[in-house]
Parts: sequence; structure tokens; C-alpha cells
Amino acid sequence: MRNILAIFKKEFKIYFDTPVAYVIFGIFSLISGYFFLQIFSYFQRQSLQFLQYQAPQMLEHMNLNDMVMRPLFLNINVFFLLMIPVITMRLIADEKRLKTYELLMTTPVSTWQIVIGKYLASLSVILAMVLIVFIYPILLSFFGSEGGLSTGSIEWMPLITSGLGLFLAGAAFAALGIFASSLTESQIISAIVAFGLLLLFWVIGWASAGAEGVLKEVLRYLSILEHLDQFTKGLIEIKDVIYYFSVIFFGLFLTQQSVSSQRWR
Amino acid sequence: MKKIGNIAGIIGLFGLIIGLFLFLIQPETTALPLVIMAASLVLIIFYAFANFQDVKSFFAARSTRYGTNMLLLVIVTLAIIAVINYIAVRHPYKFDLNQDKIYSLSDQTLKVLKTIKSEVRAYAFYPPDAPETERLRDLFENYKYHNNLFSYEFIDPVKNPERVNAFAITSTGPRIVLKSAERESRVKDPTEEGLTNGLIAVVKADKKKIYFVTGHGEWDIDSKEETGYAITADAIRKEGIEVAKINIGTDRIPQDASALIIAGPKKLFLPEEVKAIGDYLQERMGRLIVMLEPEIKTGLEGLLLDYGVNPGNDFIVDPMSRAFGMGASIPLVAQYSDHEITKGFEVATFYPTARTVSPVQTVPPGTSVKTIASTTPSSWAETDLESIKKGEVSFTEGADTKGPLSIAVAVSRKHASASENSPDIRIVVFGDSEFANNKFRPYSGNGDMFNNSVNWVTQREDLISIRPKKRASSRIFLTQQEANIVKYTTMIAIPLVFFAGAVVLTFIRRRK
Repeated sequence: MRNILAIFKKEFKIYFDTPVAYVIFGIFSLISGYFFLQIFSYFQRQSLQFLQYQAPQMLEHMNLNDMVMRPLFLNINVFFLLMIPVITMRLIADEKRLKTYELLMTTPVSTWQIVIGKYLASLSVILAMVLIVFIYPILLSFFGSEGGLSTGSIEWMPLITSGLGLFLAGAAFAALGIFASSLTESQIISAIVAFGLLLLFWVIGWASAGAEGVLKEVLRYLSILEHLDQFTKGLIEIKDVIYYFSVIFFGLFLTQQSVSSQRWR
Repeated sequence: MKKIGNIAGIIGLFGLIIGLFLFLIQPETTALPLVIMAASLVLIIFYAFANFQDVKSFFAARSTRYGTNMLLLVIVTLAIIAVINYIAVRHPYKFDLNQDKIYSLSDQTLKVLKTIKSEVRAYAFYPPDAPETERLRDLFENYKYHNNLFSYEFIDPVKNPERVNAFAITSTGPRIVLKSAERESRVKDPTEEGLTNGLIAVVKADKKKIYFVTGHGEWDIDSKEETGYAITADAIRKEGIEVAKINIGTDRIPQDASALIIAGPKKLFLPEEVKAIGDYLQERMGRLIVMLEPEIKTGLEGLLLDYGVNPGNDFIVDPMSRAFGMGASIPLVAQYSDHEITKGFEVATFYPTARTVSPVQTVPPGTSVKTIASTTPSSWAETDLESIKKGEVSFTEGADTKGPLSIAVAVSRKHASASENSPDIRIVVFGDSEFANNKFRPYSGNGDMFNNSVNWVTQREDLISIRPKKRASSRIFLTQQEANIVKYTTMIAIPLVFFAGAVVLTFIRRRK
């Protein structure tokens, strides 16, 4: 445990004592803020239109959870797909490039401890990104409580499940990302391999649209973006949780195998 | 030799990957990916032969042994993960953390699901991008979650026309078929209420059977002539409803009758026959479809008036129909009410030689009489029937009524003592009988109009009503100032804080 913590601390420092994490957060908040603003202003325009056309029954359908926050989380999930390979790309590849890898391998730290320590550091960045997303609903909750037309506020429970789902999705992406990083000493190759892996897992979902029967269901299940859907509705399905944990475990397992194979290759 | 072998090996490896990729991506299994993979394998084998010495020493090496071990370990781990996921999929469990449990089923549905003891499969004919699909899939998943004898399948009607035909699905009719080993039922409303009532029908109800009344010159359900009803009867059989004939002058109305259909009688019904029908309706919560023709007195007029339907002594003329290649004596209907029969109807229907049938001014107590189809504003109800025979009709102010005219009505009546869920008496009356015959049935929406009517009158289950759940509305109207605050915070303030942090850190690190 202490070993994991030591590795974690070292990696955490590299993220947060250098501009790396802050540049990532800056770009991320810029893009997700743009997503949010676009979806939210569309929502507002629609509400106003219904108000002008005196369509109260349509106004009853307007819902911040379903029409703003849910699409926002689903969009950010795709954005994560592109962002996370950049976060994980240097984790192991850089050790190889700096030739500190051999040093690390000869310390009395097991390969599992190395992998988990580094992985947890990348999770801290992802967790921070998920928390950034929560700024938007919190911001909204300051407004709209007064004035007769605004009703009720956001339902928080579905947001918490969405956040949990987004974090698990990010963690799954990162597990594949760290595996890609263990394959090479070039950060660029590491990032590209991770993109490839993640995109493949995404594209599988498209293939399911054309398939029929059992194959369709299997492809749909494998698709890495499918599983956030239920979380964003406020539902936690065991199978989605198991799926994410499977990807995380398998990614880390492959990384560990890849790292320890260094000893006999 | 070795060089060629190496090239062959590389091409083979790429070929294998491309072939595998195509195999996974292509929806239909075609020979191409298999051919590519087979050819690639040949190339790889060729490579192995060309580099026999290298390959041999590769397999002898220590690293290869470790590598094989690792590969095996990876495969075993993957298999274990697959099994765990399979179990998780087969035994779903979920938590609905929404305030009003909007994604959970109602208690009524859960009760019905508990009564299912044999397999029921739902066939939903919706394309993947239809607005109903997502919500419907959620519902199906939920039903399956509570009873795994329930299964479902989405069928894209565009891609599978043969299955659309096999199930006799139409664009305006029901698009969900629930099927058990013995029975099937059709669901028009893709909601929890619709599905659950459909399930009740599959689990409980007896087989539906409708009787066509004969003996008064009604159209023949065995006749394949243009004026016959054979194709129409077949279409109803395809929906899982039995069809038979009955002469109510000689036979009693059987116990298994789900509904009676009187299609275009040309002779008078005897008073005893009218009474038999009246008793059937009154005592057995009977169901009836009557299709009339202009100028013909049937003797049913009194009975219909009792139920609030007034057959007009007229003939509908619509010059607009000529625009559709029909004669003026074939009025066109493009306006429907929001009745269960015509819900979502968007196509025209045609009624060759028709009279009006309309709700009476004061409807009898406990009865609901509703016009379900009306003709166009350009039509009128000609009362001078002689002028039609002469072929010189014109609208006479005062005598004739201007369209839109009611051409079909639906009646439902409940006994005063009946509870909310008990069955009602249902009657549909059309001012025409030819619209559903072999010749006119295929025209536009005619066939659906008739089938929907049959489906409505044969519905006999104790229907339950379930209020659709949805999130309570939450909306925000921001003032311009508030909107600006949101905008500048999200787009400028927050990113700026992070970028500033990055700059400061760079600065500090430089100074060190």
C-alpha cells in the first residue's frame, strides 16, 4: 500500500505541480462550457417559444435534467474519449524514454503496485474533470428560484449517478490508455494507440446498428459509449458497473503483463 | 526466397487484420472477409516455410515460452471476465434513483407480469431512429427485467418488408405484436398502458371470433369478386381473429362471438332479427359494425337511433374526389377525430356511394357517440336522390347540407351500474359498405380503417389505465443579466482560472 502511495504521489505531483493538469482543465472547461452553453441556450429558446405560443402543455415537457444535463454528460463522454489518451500517454512511456524504467523495475516494488499507483494518479485528474462538470448545474441552481415561470430546480440524484457513470467511463478509458502507454516509449505513439483502441470500442457500437439477433446485442454491449446511457437517466444497472470494472481490470491486467514482460523480453 | 517470404508475411498479417475487421463490421456475412482471411493465412504459412529456421528457433526460445504463457493467461482472464459479464447481463439488477421512479413500472404492470407463465415475445416494427424506439426499448427491458419469460425484438420495417407482410403490419395500424404460443395481440400505443393491456389480452382473453351476418344480400366473405369480401376476411384472419358467417334469422348468436358485422345489407331485417341483435348488444355487452348504403332501408334504423346514431337519407357528393381520379360519388375523407380507431391516421380513405351517419342531437344517457371520419368541406349531402339517377346533381341551398359531413361514427355505452373497468357496448357505423371490399380495400387507408374498427370492437379485456410517468417539469427563464453571468462564468471565468494557474506555475518553475 505504501508503495502504491509513493508512486501515486510522484505521478500526482507531475500532473499538478506542472502546468499539465491546469492546461488540461482549462481546455476541458472551455469545451464543456461551450457544450453546456449551446445546449442550455437551445433549451431556453425553446421554453420561450412555447411561452409565446401559449403552449403550457409543451412547457410541461421542458426539463433541465433530461434536456440539458443528460445530453451534456453524453457529449462529454465522447470528449473524454479524445482527451483521456493525452492524460495517460506519458504514464509508462515516459519512464522508458527517460531510462528510469530499469531503475523502477529493480526497486522492490511489484509491477502491480507500479501500474496501480500510476493509474490512480490519472484517475485524480479525471475525477477533477467530472467535478468541473458539476459547476454548471450548481451555477444554474442560483437562478430561477424566483419568478413565477421557472419551476422546480434540477433533480440532483440523476446528476450524481451521471457523474458516477462519467467517472467510471473515464476510468475505463484510462485503463486502456495506460496499457497503450506501456507498449511504447513514444508518448505520441502511446496516445495514437489509445485513440485507436477507444475508437474501435466506439465503432463496435455502430456495427451493432446493422447486425441482427444475438450479435447485435453482443456488439451493443461491447460498445464503450453505450453504458453511460442508463447512468444519465438516474439508473444504476449492475451490468453497466460490471462492464466498466471489467474494462478497467482487463486494461490494468494487460498493462501489468506488458510491464512485467519487460523482464524476459 | 526469404525476402519474398517476409513480404508475404507482412501482407498476410495486414490481410488478417483487415479481414477480421470487415467480418466484424459488415452486417451481413459475406464471403469477402473470409476469402481475405484465408488468403492471408496462406501467405503467413508461406512466410513460415520461407523462414523455417527462424521460426523454429523462435519457438525454441525462452521468451517464446514466457510469451505463450502470458497469452494463455490473457485468454483465461478474458474468458473469466466474459463469464462474469454474461452472468451480469442474464441476471439484471438495477436501482432507480429518480425522485418519482420514472423508469420503474407501475404496480398494475408488475401484477400482470407475475401472471405470465409461458413465453411471450414482442415484435416491434419501428426503425432504430423512430422517436418511440428509445422509450419502448426501456419499457421492454423493464418488462424483461421483471419476468424473463418476456422477450422482445425490434424489426426495422424498411429493411424487412417480408416480415412486415408476414405480420400484416401497416403504417397506420398497430406496430407492436405480442405473441405467446397460442395467442397474439396487437398494441397500437407504444406506452406502458398499451403494452400491459396487450399482455393481458395475450395471457387471458379467449380467441377472438367475428361473425358476418348473412341473409339480407350482405357482401360475401367467400367471394373473390371485386364486390366480395374474401381478401378483407383474410386480412382479419392474419391478425389472429377468426372469421365466420351467421344467419341470425335461423341461428342464435353464438357465445364465442366477439363481434357481429353487417356489411351492406340490401333487404329489410325482420323485427325478430333486429330484436336478436338488440338483445345481444344489451345483455352480452355486444359489439357491432354496421356498414350501410344510401337509399336502402334496412330496418336497423330504429336500433341505431337508440344508440344515438342517425343514418341520413341522403347521398354524399364530392367534386374534389375527381382530383384523385375518383368520381364525385366517391367522397374522400382526410379528416379524422382523435378516436382510438383513427388515432394517428394521416392517409385519405375513399367511400364509393355513401350516405351520412351522424350522432343525434341528444345522445342517450351513458352513451358516447363520436364522429370518427368526416368528408371534405367541398362535399355536400344530396337529398334529391332522383337527380342522382338522372346524373345531374347540384348543391341546393337549404335542402342539402354542406360538408364536412360525418360518414362514420363510433358508439360506446355502459350500463349505469357498471364499474369503471367493466366492458362496454361498442358499435361502429359506416355510411358505406364498399370501401372495405376486395376492390377498394387496397386504396390508401381503407383497409386500415376497417381493420382498426374490427380491432376496436373486439377489444373486451378489462382494460387498465396507467398514467405515463415523467419527470416533473423544471425550467428556467433567465433575465438577460443572469444569462450573461452564466455565459461569462462558463466560457471565460472558469477556463481563465485554470489557464492562469498554468501560467503562474510555469513562472514559478522558471524562477527556481
